[in-house]
Amino acid sequence: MSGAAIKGLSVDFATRAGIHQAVRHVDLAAGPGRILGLVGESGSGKSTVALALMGLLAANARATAGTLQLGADRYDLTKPHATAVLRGRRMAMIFQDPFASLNPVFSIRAHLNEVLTRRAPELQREERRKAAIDSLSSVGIDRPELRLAQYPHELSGGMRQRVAIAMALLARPNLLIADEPTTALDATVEAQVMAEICGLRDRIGCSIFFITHSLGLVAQYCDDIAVMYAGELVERGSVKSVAADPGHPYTRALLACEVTIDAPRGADARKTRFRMIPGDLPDPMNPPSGCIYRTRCDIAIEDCARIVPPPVEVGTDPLHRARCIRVGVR
Amino acid sequence: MESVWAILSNIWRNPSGRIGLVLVTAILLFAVLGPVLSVDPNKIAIPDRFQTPSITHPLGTDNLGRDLFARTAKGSQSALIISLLVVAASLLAGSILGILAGTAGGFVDRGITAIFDIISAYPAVILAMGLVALYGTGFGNLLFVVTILFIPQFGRMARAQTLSLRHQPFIDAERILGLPTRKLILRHFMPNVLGPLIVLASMNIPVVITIEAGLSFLGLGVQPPQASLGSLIKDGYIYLNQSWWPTIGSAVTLALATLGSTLFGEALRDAADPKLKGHGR
Amino acid sequence: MLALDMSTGLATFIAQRLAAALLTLAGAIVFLFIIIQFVPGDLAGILLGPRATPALRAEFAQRMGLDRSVPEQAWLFVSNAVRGDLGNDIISGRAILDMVLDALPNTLQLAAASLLISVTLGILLGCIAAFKPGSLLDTILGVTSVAFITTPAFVVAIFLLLIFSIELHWLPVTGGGDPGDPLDRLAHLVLPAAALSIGWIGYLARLIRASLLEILSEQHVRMMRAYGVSELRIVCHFALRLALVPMVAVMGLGIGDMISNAVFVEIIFARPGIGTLIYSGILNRNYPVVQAGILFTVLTYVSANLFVDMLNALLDPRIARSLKQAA
Repeated sequence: MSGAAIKGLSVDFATRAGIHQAVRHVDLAAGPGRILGLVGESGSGKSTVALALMGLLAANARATAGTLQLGADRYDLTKPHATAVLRGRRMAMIFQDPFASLNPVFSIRAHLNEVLTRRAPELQREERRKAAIDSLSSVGIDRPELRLAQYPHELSGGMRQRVAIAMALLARPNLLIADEPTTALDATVEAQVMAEICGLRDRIGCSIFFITHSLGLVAQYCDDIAVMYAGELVERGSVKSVAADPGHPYTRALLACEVTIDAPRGADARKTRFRMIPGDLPDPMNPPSGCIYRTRCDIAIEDCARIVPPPVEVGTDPLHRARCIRVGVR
Repeated sequence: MESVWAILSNIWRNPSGRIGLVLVTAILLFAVLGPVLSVDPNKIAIPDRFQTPSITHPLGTDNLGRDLFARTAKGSQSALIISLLVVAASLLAGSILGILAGTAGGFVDRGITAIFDIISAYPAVILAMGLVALYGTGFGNLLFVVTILFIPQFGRMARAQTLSLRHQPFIDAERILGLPTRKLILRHFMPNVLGPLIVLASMNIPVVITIEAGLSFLGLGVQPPQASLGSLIKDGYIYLNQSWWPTIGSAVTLALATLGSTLFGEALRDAADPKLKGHGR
Repeated sequence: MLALDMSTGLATFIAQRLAAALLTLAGAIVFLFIIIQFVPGDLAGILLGPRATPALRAEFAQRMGLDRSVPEQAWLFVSNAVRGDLGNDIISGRAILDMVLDALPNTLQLAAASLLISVTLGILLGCIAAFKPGSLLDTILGVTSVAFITTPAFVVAIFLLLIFSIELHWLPVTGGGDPGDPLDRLAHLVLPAAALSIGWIGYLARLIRASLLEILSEQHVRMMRAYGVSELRIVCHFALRLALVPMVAVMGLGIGDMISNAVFVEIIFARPGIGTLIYSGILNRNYPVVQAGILFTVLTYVSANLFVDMLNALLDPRIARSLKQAA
């Protein structure tokens, strides 16, 4: 296991109004056993990145460029058939809505078996059963023998998500993609599921791309962070470095928007507690020239319209980069 | 009037709806203008029997030399009139019973639902055959019998709609304000129930046409000399060895009528409320 | 694969459905009795038809208990029916029950054959259409299935008869075939079963296609794709299994139609069966036979619906959940 990296991923959507460039030249990397948090607001393209990786894009979407490096192997992401062989073996995915992830007329055993037969076809029936039970107990599901025979509707949301993690466990992938796995769950269950995901990482040492819109989760569980805005990667680096010294104005604004428990209350609250970023995402058919964020940026200058900002080093961490020509300016 | 136009144009834009609309209009024109423009459908002329289509007899002649174009047009007329009457009558009866069941609740509700269940326990044509066998054939009986077949469908939908409306807060509010039940029914339940029922009615028209044609085919429906598409097919069936034409004209017309009204009904349902697109028959 | 692990819930479910079915059946029999009461004219005269002799009338009156009160008559009617005593045929003297039981297997064979054909072909065509939506095959199937569905079964039967029997002489024209020769019986079964199935094939294909397409866009299918399951297995194993649930429910609704259409098909192809029995009974004014035939079709219909309910519960484990909560 030596990590996963995406280089230069671009995805286009063909719509009636024209070509929508949903993802533009995105580079992501996560070392073995490290969790990369991919953050961005709705429409930033983060889920599209995940789907492009898995080759699960919709019929009107195409990856126009990009490669995936898994360990020593390189795959061309513009050919989804090339990555098809990786699914369920070297890559696995956990989806957002646990209530829709499992087929209601198939038992838990059936779901787990499906992963096993593809991943370890040499196993006999009894061995498969044992592996399934082990995976269920590994993710903290009680009475696994009973659960095997049950159907999805008999399990709670949190349990279903644990089953999804168990499936990933059985697949033993190099790369796990978790697309907002806890968004549909309440806070206590969220903590449990996140613990299981970290447990999975500990057990098999895979790299994890963790897609979320919650900076809180990223701060708590991720090693590295990548920030996306309107289809572009605007900042990346270790969580420590980015949190301490955000280079991109968007990242700064996102951090400021987070509500913390010790924020001021009362009359001052409105000013400091609930911050928003004014404006909307740019028109995808007609992105602004130069920097994509300049229309909502609080420190934009004339040059921002002329120059497409290259990645600039921020702070002391050599891997911390932000795409802004005014890094360091407040 | 405006919403009717909006619905019609919606149907026109739907490709299958367009076909349905065209077919339905064609059949309507055929049924209305056909008898007017053609010769006497009952005129017997034995020397001219089993002719193939010609200018004088666009669909040929049958075993008694009667013009098939005229007879088929008359048959389509019967089919349309009967289906419209039956659907209207069962819609009315069904909605009254359904609203009654939904409003009264308790014993009345269970009784009416039981009636619906019992009528539905019989396969449609079987019940119709039995009733006609007992009470005799004839136009009135036919209408009565086929209407009974459809009352449960309309009734159940009316009842379901009434029940869901009944528990809405605004109904409680009206009751508190003292609105008598009768007015409640007329002002609130009926209008809300009629909408989906009319869509259901339009989807049932082809079914009624088929059942009526089937009964007439068996000789249990419309009686001679009145013509129905079904009885025309039956007349032709006996003489299939000698000539196809008596059967073909009416069979194809029947198929087109059912196809057209089905497509139209579905398009109407989709135009009125796409949520109704379920798994019903 | 089948949700058989909720024993108490399932037993209660079966008991409930069985009770409901019996109740409906009883209600249907009573209904039959009631509508007979409203027939204008002398009851015995009507039911016995033009062959009513005074002796027959007397025997009839005694059997039906015409001198007793109406509720007693109703009870007599129902209990006679339940015991299988449907009277004796006026013309042949045979027990009507025997006549019905002779005719019933033919109808059941026809129904079973057409069910088999329509389910197999319907599912197959629906899967093919859903596998490559928008393809030429899909479009052709879409158009022809609508045509199949809407044409009334008896019209289809006549056309088939016309083309394959009368014109091409490929298959026998009428009758049920020689009872001793299964191959001959099969030959006589082909066209009637085809006529009966065509509408269903179109309907099921359309339904399966629509269900599959909807299911294929759901997240659990994406999940399976993410784990590398082949598209073929996804459509034919995972998605289809889920699509079967509404299909079975819909078939339950359509069984009545199938029985009705079976009547026409039997008459057109002059096959022996319940349909022909009822029809000839009507033509000959042999009403006791008609009554018995109708009773048996109701029995078949109610049983078929019961069976479909059971099948539905077995296929969909979610139904068991509401049972467990109730039980």
